[in-house]
Amino acid sequence: MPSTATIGRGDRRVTVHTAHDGTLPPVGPYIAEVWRRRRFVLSMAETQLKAANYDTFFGQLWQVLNPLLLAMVYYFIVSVLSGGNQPPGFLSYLVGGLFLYYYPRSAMGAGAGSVVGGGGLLLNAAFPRAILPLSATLSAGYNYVNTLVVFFVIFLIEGGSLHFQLLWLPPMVVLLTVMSFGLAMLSGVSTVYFRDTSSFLPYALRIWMYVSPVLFTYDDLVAQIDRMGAPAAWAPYIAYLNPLVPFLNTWHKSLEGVNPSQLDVLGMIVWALVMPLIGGYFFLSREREFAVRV
Amino acid sequence: MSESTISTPVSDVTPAPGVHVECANPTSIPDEDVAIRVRDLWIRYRTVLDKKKTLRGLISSWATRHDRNDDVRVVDAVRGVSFDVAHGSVLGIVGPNGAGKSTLLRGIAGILPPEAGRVETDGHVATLLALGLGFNMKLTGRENITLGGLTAGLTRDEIKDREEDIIDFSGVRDFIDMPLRTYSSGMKGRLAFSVSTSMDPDILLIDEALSAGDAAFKKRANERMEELLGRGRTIIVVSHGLSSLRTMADQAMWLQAGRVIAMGDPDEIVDAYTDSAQTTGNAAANDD
Repeated sequence: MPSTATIGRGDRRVTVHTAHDGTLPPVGPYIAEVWRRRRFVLSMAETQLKAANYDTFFGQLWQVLNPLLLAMVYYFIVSVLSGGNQPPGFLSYLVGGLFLYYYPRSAMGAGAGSVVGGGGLLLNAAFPRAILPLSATLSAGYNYVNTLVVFFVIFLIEGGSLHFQLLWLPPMVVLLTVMSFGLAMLSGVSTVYFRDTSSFLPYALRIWMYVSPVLFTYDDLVAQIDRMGAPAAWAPYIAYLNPLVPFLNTWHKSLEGVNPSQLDVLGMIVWALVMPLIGGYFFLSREREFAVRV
Repeated sequence: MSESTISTPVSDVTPAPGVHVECANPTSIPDEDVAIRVRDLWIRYRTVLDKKKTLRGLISSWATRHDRNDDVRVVDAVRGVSFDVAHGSVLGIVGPNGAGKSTLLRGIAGILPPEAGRVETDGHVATLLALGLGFNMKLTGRENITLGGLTAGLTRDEIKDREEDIIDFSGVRDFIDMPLRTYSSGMKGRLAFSVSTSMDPDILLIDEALSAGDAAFKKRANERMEELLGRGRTIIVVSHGLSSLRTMADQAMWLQAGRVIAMGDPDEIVDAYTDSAQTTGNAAANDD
């Protein structure tokens, strides 16, 4: 029997709590409960956005300024390293990829703190705990959509043109959101049991960026895998073990007016399924314990 | 992170959970009248001593082949508690600090999982616990009302309907659009009380709430609770305010070291607890 259940007593529905047995709660009712509290999820996400830059001069503008300044730093570094000869449109290539990478990155960062930082809420109210990483993901998603506006301004100034293939972007963003949610649950539950997660995470995430086609191209990445001794025929597929690769490929190709490959689409779908399944399993099977551990 | 690093030994510092304990109020209430039924409830905290589990600690414990669970202390905060609360009645809980009162409330609310035993609640449970409603200090009072309502599972419309009442009742109208960090602790307590009693709960769990306000607010808070009771609501209140327990509660429970010492008529229980507290020099009981 799951640790929380509803039984009938006469015409009443009685909630029963019993010992936590480490198994998953019934997933259907769990999702229904999260859906019932969707306003709560959105309000939490909004709260996090508002609270984040509450007392700074630029306030909410930092949500766009942060990634933009970062893009400038990387543009500067890459320009210096390459002796200043960048292909045309490189700035928007860099900015677009960086913004995309920052979405799952900030979802994981906020997700890591969402459970251990939810102390008061965890101890005072019973609700599906997945709401915490979910709202962390959504506020990161809201930021991402904002930065997209900045991106397209840069893109058009640099002489980019709009193609029908841009219609790939909305489903790509949805799948990226689902994957990021899975990652946020994973970092959230890891932090409960291993507090150093939140300190390690920025470094692991930085390495993730350097092995993703953000500062360089997918072709560069495949060539590098090839150089490292992987069979040449396999190298393009090995790259897809990095969950960001199909998303970044879809992003870059759509902007160039090219459809993503079947492998890109398949890769996005697979990662958007695998991450929430793994993250959800670890999170949901342990969430009853969170209140006694944070 | 492997499972073994997070598991803790089932400690034998206390009698094992599962041993049957007599119900504290054996005068059985018919099933259909039971709002809250608690049976042999055990709640266990796992406290990591000194520090949270960190990499360095992990490596050094591996290096020295030390038992990794050495620094995890197990605390049984609630030990085999059983009782029933009937619909529309008030149970008052007294006991010294650390008796497990707040933990018991959290167990009933479904916030803390039982180590053993079971809790049954019939109806929507609202909590007013010591830390408030998960308030966010950076948001305004009004935004916190919305957040508190949504936390309790209300819709945005339901909250809007109640907002004015909540603000009026809390008496913090002048501050309602200011960040919560500008509030005094009394103001926060009053706002929290207003929010949770406005949720129209079937079962209301209150932890030391009446200590929040001044005398005028205490009077209104008592009226609000009378009103909830009039609508057949069930209340469990943990209180150091022993005189208000005498008048308000239908029965009282004396909890100490996680166990029920006695349960019954509020006057008798409060007297017995006060006597014991005075002989042992327990200051908490005099805090009225």
